[in-house]
Amino acid sequence: MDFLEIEDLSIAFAGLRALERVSFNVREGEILGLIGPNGAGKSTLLNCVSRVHTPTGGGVRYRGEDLLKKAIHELPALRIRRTFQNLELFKDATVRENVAMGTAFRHRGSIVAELFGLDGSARRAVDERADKMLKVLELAEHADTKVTALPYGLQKSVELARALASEPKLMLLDEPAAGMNPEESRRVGELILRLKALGITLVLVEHDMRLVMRVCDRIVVLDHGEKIAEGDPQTVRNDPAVVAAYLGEEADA
Amino acid sequence: MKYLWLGAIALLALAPLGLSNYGWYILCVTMVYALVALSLNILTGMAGQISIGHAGFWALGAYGSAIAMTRLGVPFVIAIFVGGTVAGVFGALVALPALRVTGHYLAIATLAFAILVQQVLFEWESVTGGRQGLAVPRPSLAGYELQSDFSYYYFLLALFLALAWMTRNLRGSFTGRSMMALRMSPVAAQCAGISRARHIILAFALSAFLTGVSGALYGALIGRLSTETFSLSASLSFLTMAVIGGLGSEVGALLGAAFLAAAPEVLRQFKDAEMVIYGAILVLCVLFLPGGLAGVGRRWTFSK
Repeated sequence: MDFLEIEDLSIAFAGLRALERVSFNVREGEILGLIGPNGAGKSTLLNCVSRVHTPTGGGVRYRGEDLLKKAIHELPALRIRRTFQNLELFKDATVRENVAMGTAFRHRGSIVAELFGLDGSARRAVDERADKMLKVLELAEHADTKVTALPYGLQKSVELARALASEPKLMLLDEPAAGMNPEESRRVGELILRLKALGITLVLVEHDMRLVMRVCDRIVVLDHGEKIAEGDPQTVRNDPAVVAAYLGEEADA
Repeated sequence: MKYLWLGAIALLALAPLGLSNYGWYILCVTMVYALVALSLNILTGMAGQISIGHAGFWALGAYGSAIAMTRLGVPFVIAIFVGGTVAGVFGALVALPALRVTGHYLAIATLAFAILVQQVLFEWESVTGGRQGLAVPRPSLAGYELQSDFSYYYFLLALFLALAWMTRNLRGSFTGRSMMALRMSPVAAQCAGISRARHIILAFALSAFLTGVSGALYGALIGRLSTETFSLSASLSFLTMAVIGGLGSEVGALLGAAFLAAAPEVLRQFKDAEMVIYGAILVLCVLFLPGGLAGVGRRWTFSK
């Protein structure tokens, strides 16, 4: 039994096949890269695993458990978290508040106590946990800043901090280096390796090939909703089908 | 912020002095409306859900409490709670589709619900009085009737302050923050472990409860219920009030309520054009005062 097992996953939107019987496994503790040209179905696959979408066929098992039987909000308790390709921050809130909400699933308070203002200690505990995570990601000085006032790169870090605040075991990263310059992208790579060192298993969707080749243990390549290659970075890079898919993309562009 | 509140409370406490009967009545109406504005603060301001059927919950609170008092002999103070609870239960039921649908379908459900409530109240003559209307006794406290709107106003003010305080607590609490997170990014909130269905049903139930309480207080104020009061235009006026006052604060709720209570006195001369003018004010407000009267330059925050 592997850590995460994706089996014959298929999904269609309005009759259009976005994923066609995709299968692969993710091993505990590894960084698995998920690459492919635009529209290959990478984000869709991430959305299926994180229960944003429900696939039309196939299965997703996490440590032997059927994830498709879980609701989207039940995943954090299983220690599965994700980030988003386009930022999905709580826009009107501060950095601290954003990160604090990352631990929402742990909260079991009574609404009555909340209405009467008797939840002070719970509120403080949540904020303290958020502050700790902000320190780790070097965001402490921005704790009280409205999140949208931060530069784009830092906003991405806040999103990561929000996901990490719940101490996940499986992290799905949807293009963490998108929109970043080479130096920022290099730092994202270092951070990803740090997460791996902490024992977090990662699935990385990313377009920055240098980053992918540098950090990933194995890579799965999708094209037009189908898996066309799987293996270590060296093998995948030299796979003729992969080369053809990417050349095709360049020809389209 | 603290001084603003102290000032507002002092102003509210002194407001009836020097006014006549009619002035007291308008102040009472303001307090009644302010509770509805608070309820929309929770539903729309926090959870980001739109209701175009709050008149339905208002009606359930008004009729529920009136029937409890006249038929079951329940004392006024408890009848208020009965009215709120009836409305709150229906609020949760109306929100049940939240388990399945997203977007504005819920808003449509609230509209249908309000129309249904009005029809049922109108047709169910044996209980509600139907077209005859339903007489509601004067409010009383521990056996003492609050004979003038002067004394009733202070009762309403105390209740408003208590409920505003609770709403404020909710805003800073984890439940309130979860509602706001769902408003700002439903997908990220759910991925963080927040149950959308649970929080939206809760927001509807709390909001409907508050509006039901307001309905109960309104019935006792005017003394006679008629189903015409609880029309679509009442629902729309509530929405207008919430937007004009500002959805992010309790002071905004008061300002919006004062507007809604005073506006008919000014707009009466325009007769049928009244709703058109409301609509125009609403549009202008959305365009130029995105935070409402209370929110000029103010941002919506989770806490503080």
